[in-house]
Amino acid sequence: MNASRFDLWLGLPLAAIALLLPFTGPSDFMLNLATLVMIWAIFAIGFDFVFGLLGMVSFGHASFLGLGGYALALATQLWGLPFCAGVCLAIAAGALCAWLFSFFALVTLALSQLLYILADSKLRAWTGGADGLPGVARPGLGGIDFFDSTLFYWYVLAVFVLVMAAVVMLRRSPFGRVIAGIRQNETRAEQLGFDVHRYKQITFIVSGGISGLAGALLASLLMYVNPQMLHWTTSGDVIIMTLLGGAGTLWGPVIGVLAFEVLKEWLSGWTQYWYGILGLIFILATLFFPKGIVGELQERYGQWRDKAARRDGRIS
Amino acid sequence: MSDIALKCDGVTVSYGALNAIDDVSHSFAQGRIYGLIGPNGAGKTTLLNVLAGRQMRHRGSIHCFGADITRTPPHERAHLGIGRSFQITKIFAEMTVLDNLRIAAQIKHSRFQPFWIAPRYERRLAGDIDAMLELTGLSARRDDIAGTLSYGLQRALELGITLMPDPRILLLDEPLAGVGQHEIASSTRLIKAVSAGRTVLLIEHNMDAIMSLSEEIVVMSNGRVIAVGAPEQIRNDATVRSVYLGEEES
Repeated sequence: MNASRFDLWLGLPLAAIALLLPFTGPSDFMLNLATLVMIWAIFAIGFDFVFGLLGMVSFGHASFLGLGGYALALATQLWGLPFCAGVCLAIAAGALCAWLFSFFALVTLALSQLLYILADSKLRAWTGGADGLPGVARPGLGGIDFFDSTLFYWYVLAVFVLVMAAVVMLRRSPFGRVIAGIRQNETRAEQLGFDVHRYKQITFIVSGGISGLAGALLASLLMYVNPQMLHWTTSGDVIIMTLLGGAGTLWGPVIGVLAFEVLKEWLSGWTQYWYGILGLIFILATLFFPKGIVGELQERYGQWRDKAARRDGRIS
Repeated sequence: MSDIALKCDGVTVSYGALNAIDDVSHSFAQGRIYGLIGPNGAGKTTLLNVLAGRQMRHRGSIHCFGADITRTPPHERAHLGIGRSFQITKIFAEMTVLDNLRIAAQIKHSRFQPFWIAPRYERRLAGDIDAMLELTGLSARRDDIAGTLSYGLQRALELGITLMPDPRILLLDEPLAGVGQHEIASSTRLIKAVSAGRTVLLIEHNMDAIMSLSEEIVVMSNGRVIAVGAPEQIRNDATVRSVYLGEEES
């Protein structure tokens, strides 16, 4: 239970910051940035389900995010569905797309670029082409005005907590153990009698659903969707964030998104070449912290605990 | 037909012009222990791969307790009762010994794995896991990360994982390879103990161990079965001595 106590210690300060932030009188900009970080963190957590837990690289996750965004936009604007139904549709769209992609593991990049091109030009009548669709809805819940940044922040925080709880549960469930087993030794899992392909598909579907949810929230935050969400660079960004934070760890994707977004805001205020500097930081990070920020911390914590345990004579 | 556990008929595996296995037909009777010997490259591991479903591209057919399993994928064969250990240890190296055995116990108890934290389900596994820890002598190491165990203990763990679903047929690929001298006797005893009541196909280069464990020896060379018989018979067989045992002595 070493790792779970570490997760708790790391989660507590993050929870405290998240809960106290709205009371520190933050600017709208700060609140929106924090909301954006949480939404991207949901996306990264969903992505890491396939990447860190199952151990498969996917270059197609932009599709699940983007489809989620468009699903919400179309559901609320075109079909006049309530926000909640739109979010459910977004989750379903992400999951369905992930299920289809799971048959073509090696060409997810090509498939997702195909979707990008469709949204960008071929399906212009539906997607608004490169201009995207403005005026995406915010949630409506018992007359609360979620166009207010603070209230929307609370809404996203609640969803984020729910997603985290679900992921903790999945990771510690018998199902999660099998997924981790498949990453560590696929042949062994298969020879034991697990239908490895089926398990991979289910993992992809869950990951796609979470990504679709993130897409809907992102569209709602920006009140806008455009094809950029579907672009391969979005898939690239989420890989970088997850690696930076620590793939396969609980908080890694969250910390990775936080580091990425904060650095981006800071650097882009400085120079227009912020992406290049960010790339350089990423290269240095993979050289010196190959396990990511949280992966590295977790290892140090484990060593420290072992040492402490040995000193106390609990381990001979 | 149920007293034949495994049967291969005209099984041939070719890599280009080379036949790794060449027209092998043999029946393995239920409850017997078979030793599979032969020089390197004779096709022993390939035969185990064919039987376990890892090598699906072959000619000929495979039957398991009378059912044709030639096209059955490996995970389905596991449910028919075929368990397999590997020449190079295959365990879940980053998990604890306990979690390794838990995964193996899960497949025995349910084909559906809960998505939620399931204490009642985990408790149902606990009895089997404790028994297996006891049998493999890993009780004291249950919380150790599997990859940090000594090689001999990793082999014991792999055997435990393989046994957990209670397979009727055991395919063991060099279970003693890399096991230290002082652990060989205990490992041999363990294999002997778990073989009781099961059909076992055992590949092993340790001649003393395989001759004492097996009830019947199948000798392979260049992809063919060249001799079958009781251990003493094989030891005295002139052909076998020249292709295999003789080679060992030179």
